[in-house]
Amino acid sequence: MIDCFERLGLPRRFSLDLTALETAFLDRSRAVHPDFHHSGSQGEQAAAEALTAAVNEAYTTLKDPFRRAEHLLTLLGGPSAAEVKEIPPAFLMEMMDLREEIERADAAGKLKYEKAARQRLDVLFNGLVPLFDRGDLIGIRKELNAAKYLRGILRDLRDA
Amino acid sequence: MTTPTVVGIDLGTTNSLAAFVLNGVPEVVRDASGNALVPSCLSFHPDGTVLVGRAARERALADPTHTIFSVKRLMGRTLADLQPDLPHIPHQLVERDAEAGRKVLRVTIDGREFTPEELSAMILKEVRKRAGNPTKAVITVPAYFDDAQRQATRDAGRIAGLDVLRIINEPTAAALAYGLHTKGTGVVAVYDLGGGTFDCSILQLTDSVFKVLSTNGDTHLGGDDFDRAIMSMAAKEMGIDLTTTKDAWLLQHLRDAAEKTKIALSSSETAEFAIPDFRRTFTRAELDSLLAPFIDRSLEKCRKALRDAELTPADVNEVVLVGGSTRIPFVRRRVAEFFGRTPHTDLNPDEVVALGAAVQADILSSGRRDRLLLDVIPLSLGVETLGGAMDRIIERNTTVPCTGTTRYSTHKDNQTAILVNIYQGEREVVAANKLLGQFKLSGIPPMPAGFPVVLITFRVDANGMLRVSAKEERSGVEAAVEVKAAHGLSQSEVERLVLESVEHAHEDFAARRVIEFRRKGESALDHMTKALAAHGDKLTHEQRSAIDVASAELRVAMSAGDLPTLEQANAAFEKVILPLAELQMNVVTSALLRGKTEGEVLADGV
Repeated sequence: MIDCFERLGLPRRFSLDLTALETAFLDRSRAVHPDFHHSGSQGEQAAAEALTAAVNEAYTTLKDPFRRAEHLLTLLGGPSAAEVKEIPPAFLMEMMDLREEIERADAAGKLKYEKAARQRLDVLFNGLVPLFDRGDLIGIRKELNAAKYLRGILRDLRDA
Repeated sequence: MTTPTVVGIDLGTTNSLAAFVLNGVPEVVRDASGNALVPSCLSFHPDGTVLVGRAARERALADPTHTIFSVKRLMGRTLADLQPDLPHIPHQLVERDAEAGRKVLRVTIDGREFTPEELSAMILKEVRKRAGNPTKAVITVPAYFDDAQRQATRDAGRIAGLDVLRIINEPTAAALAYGLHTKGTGVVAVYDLGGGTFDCSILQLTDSVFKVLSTNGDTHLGGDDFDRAIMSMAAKEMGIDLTTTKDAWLLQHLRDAAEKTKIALSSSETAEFAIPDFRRTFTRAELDSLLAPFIDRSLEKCRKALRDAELTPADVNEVVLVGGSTRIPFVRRRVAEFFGRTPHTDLNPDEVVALGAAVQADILSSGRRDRLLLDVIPLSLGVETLGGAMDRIIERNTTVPCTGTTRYSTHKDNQTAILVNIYQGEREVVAANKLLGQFKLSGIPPMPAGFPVVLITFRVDANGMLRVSAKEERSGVEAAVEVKAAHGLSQSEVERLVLESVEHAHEDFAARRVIEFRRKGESALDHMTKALAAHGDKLTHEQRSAIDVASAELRVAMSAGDLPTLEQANAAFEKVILPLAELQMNVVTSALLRGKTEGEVLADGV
């Protein structure tokens, strides 16, 4: 599988300097984007399109903390969601309460919960930093299972 | 006037126009009396002549049954898509069957049938003629156009004799035009309300990079709808049912009066709606209340675009208004209220899209790299899975070009072929999305059901257009998949129309093409010499001698100047040069992966 960190020339770690990510993405886009190889040969155009698509994918993956963590965990040889399905029990309780509260909320209330859920997600991602530092791959997977659950709630809130 | 070879064309619902870059500055093409806009209107005469633009528009009242407006609304659409519009279209639409279940929409005018692509091509030809017959163009489309609508637009360009360098999104083009005037960084919202379509795009500007974060829209919302609302109100007062009347003369007069009333109300508080047997005064307040539901709909799309970008109206630094309908004071007020800031209106909303397209055309043809445009795909792409569910392979608002893959398998034992339907849209059930086409992967070796692993790859290019490939992984069968479009013209039909159009063109098309091929050939040979010097040693003996033969043939063809031979020699050369080009790009990339900048890579003599 491709290493998105390597593709963008960034250090392989979860805490990412977002400015460096942006710079790396734009530098590479400027070099390989099809717009700048339009008058080139067919081979050059095809290569430009494929390379840009790969750069875009790497950028999208690394920009989103959830996908970045998933990608890094896979690169590190960590367990997949099918192998470790657990969610921290306290988190599950918290989410069940949250779901109930959301169901009772009106539109303004839902907006408030959406904001709260986002903040909760940020807290969860911050919590991944020490886990990655320690190399606790199973711990990371559990937290990502929790994050996936929370993202589901957020998506429901947004689509409502 | 200087004659441009490359132009940007805004092919609009109501008006179309071209622009080009001269000495780094984009300019619109104007006629002798200073008009830039060509009304997107056609008038057909029994003797076979076709009027395009202003002349056609002027005939509309006298000859409504032979005059056609708003062709853009028909582009890339099926008869079923158009059901809600049929009462408003004064011409008969038919759907003809082509091979393999493909359907082609045609408009009947005076017993003759035309595809929307051909009709749009007539408008494009007029625009092209005015610009001095350039051969290459960037053509704009609403950001929310799906694959079929983009394809139809590109085909129209080809039929008009244009090499379509790129299809770009109208709001993005507008931002590009504005970016020339406003410096700096920030979030820009483009509110683009034209004659027939609405788009809202959210962009992030960072030193000359235009990155689209999200887009949303409605390809059936625009000034035409406002005219219809005014028409309907007047007709109701006259006791006429618009959905049943077939009186073309009356409909055309109502439409004309409605448009005039709408335009007059942008500059005065009241306006007279007048047709031969009816007259009434409309106030601006009346118009505002007729428009309110449409504007609400457009702002809902803005909200969705912001959501997808994970932003709120307060995060937007600049608002840009595009499209003739944004001249309406009520529209400006509502947009200003929504975003909490006064929108930019310094560029002409009718011209800004063409100006931006010209800038993009210049980037593509000149090789300048001072501006980078990163656009997105507006609607998700996927395939149908068991039970009619949509398996999304590429999500909406993904930066293009992009790729996505999914796995498929067989349902029955020893099944040797699979048929896959491709859809575009946001709904979970494919039936609610747009069917783009289908493909068949055959030659799968007999295996138990569910055992074959068919990897389907979607590739979206910088035009936002899709290509599909598929491969059975266990056997390695990479059957060629040709996606059969569900709708629209086939490649061979387009080619035939291109040829017809060339035959009828009263211009020296061949001579122009020869000049182009010579220029192209010179630069290709030049590139080759440099690339061979750097990487020639990495080619196999066969590759090297193939290049030598093809380049010698190309040189001969270039000096002889015979178009078919040149075309052939050029195609042959392109083919044999492929391994060298790939080698070269790979070196650039691997250098990049080592963290070098492009400048350093070039300095290394790649």
